[in-house]
Amino acid sequence: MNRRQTFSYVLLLLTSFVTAGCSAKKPPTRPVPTGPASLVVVSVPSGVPVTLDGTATGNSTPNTFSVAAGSHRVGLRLLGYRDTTVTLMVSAATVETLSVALGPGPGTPRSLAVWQQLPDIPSSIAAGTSGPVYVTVGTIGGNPGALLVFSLAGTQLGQSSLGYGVSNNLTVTAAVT
Amino acid sequence: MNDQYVDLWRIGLDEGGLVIDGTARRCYVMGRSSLGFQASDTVWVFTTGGQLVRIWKAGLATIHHFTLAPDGTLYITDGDVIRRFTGDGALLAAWETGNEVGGIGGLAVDGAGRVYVAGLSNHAVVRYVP
Repeated sequence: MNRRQTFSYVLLLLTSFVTAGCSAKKPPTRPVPTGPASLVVVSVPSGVPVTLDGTATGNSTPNTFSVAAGSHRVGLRLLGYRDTTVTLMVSAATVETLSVALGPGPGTPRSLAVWQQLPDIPSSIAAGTSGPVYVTVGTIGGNPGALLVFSLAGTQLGQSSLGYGVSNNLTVTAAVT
Repeated sequence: MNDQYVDLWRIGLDEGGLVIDGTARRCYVMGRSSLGFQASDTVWVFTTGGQLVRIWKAGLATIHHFTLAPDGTLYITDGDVIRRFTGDGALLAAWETGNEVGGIGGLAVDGAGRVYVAGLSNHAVVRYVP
């Protein structure tokens, strides 16, 4: 082995060593997730029509939608509840769950909580245009029924016993003042 | 209702009722069925002379309670849900009653549009203001 051959041999060894060293230092490669993601949309109440990125899906909650990875805008709209839109990022080949509780809408009547506490189970109720409010109680609970009369201000105006087996239908046929 | 009638059993209605709006001269026949008939959430609208003018759906499993408000709108319930419609069936509002009612036993509306809901399990009347 002459001097030139020796140099080539050493260079080859050195190259092999460096190459092997470099490949040993490479981080392990992981497969990049691809493919669509699953977006699960649930809501309270359920049965709310869902829009995805502004387009009606034709489906209601709860439901699972297949979407591309990226940002998506989920819209929920139901009469009586506040319109709700949520934007979220979805990674490829994952399952994301969106849970939404819809608040009351602006047109929803406001409850004043309990207006009258009754002595028994109510079976029917009727109101005149300007009062009073009539309530029958007790007729479906096996107890003798009673008719209660209240003013719109909430004052009890009267009470009459109805006995057993009275109808649970109550109708005000004319405005009562 | 002299010259027309609805055979409630034939159209699949084993329960139900009606309400008459004297101002608008309309009679509303409300479908209610405990047997799961398709007509169970149907509203038939007649003139007070008996002419059938419209049929619409309330979009509920069945019509349980109903009442006619002084302004001619209809309130219809099923379960804990109350829906308000025009006489032609356009949905105006909808909401769910909560624990303060505990099951709807009936409802009524006064001249100011306040809704009185009789609560079955709470033995109470809850009032809603528009």
